[in-house]
Amino acid sequence: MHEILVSLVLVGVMVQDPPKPPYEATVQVKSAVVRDGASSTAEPLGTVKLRDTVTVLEIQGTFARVKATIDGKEVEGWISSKSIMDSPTYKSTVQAAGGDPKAGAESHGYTKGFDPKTEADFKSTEHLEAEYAKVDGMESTEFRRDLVKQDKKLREFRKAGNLGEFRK
Amino acid sequence: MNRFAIVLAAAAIATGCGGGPEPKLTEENEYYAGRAVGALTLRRYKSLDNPAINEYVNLVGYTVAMASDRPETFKGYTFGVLDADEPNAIAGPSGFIFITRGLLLVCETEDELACVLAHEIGHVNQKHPELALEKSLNDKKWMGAADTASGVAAFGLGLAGKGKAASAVESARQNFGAFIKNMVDSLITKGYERDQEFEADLCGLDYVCRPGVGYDPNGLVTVLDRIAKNPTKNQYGWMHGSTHPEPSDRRDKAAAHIKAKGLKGTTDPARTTRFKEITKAIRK
Repeated sequence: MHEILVSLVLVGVMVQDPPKPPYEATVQVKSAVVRDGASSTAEPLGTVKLRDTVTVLEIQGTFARVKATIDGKEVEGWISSKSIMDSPTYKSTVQAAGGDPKAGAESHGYTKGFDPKTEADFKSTEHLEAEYAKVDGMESTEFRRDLVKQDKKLREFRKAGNLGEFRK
Repeated sequence: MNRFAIVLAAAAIATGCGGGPEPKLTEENEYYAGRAVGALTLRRYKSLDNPAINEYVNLVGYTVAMASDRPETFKGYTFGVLDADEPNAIAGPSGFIFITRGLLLVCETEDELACVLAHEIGHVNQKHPELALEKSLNDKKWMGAADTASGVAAFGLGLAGKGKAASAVESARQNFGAFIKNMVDSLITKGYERDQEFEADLCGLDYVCRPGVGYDPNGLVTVLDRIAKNPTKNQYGWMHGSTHPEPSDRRDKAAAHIKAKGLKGTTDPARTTRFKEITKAIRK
């Protein structure tokens, strides 16, 4: 009976309507590109960082029009709605994992759940130092280093392959 | 107890390609799980020592991923090539995606490669790796039966009492290695659930046709047809895994989806030329 009740609550929450704009949201990826249109191929205006707060003004498909502060300037543009989470939900998700939602953006180890400490223990127990070094290598290639610069490389690649055009 | 996993999976499938389930782990939690899947995969297989091919696969993968419904993961997608004969591809949490040299060689054009990677990106978009992690968490052998019901719900949604959730998270942390090993074994030998495999196919077909991409979606049909007509003894993932749908079934559903939705891309010899040029080093 208990399981059924929890299942019902679970389904109920999953179909809960998202908040109506405007509302505050928290960036939940390390770096998210804000663009001048509701498309991944629109021009980048800048990037927001993990745990930055943005104000969601409108949702269009899988993109959100947001107001954000980038390098001290207020910018209005579009961001993937999957890269942000409304702030109350984000905070409760982090808290449920035993983390501190107020911790600074660049200090790792605050969300608990699976975190750098979990990784360090796993790496040591399983003697995976060499394999993790390879994963680090995959992640640190020049291509992956900067999301905005990556747009330029992808643009050239698409152009050479006669793939879809960027807007500008 | 498996009803929780069933409810989660059903909710995920019901949302279709554009939606996907609500987040249940933070992106950061998912990222560390993805790195662990990557490390264990690289223990089992050597990575292909060819920077040009690796960068090319990343470029094709990013072209598709950025047009998908989840263009950004915690630190972005990571595509890697494994130096293995068996034709297979793996999508781990947070966008850690691997393709084997064997599957790369089954492809004859860049469009086919794009469709294969789009399928894996479809898994990431639909949070299939995260659902698989939660399914592992659901297993009673990792936690006391009394804690399971409330713990899983709390861990899953992060909305219930912190104490109960913390016990589920703590259980996950303590058994992290077992979870990840189980997941990697399953991904390599079986892939995801049958319905999730079909769902990833359909999502991928939509992504490759979007503005800014424009690959030919029939690339998935032709690569699956080639696999279906050339059965090997390999029983892994993309071939005939125990839960993976038969390639011929996937081919037929993909063709029907392209026709029903009127999906169109382009074909261009320049892409095939560069695909053949770049993969020349691994073709005998």
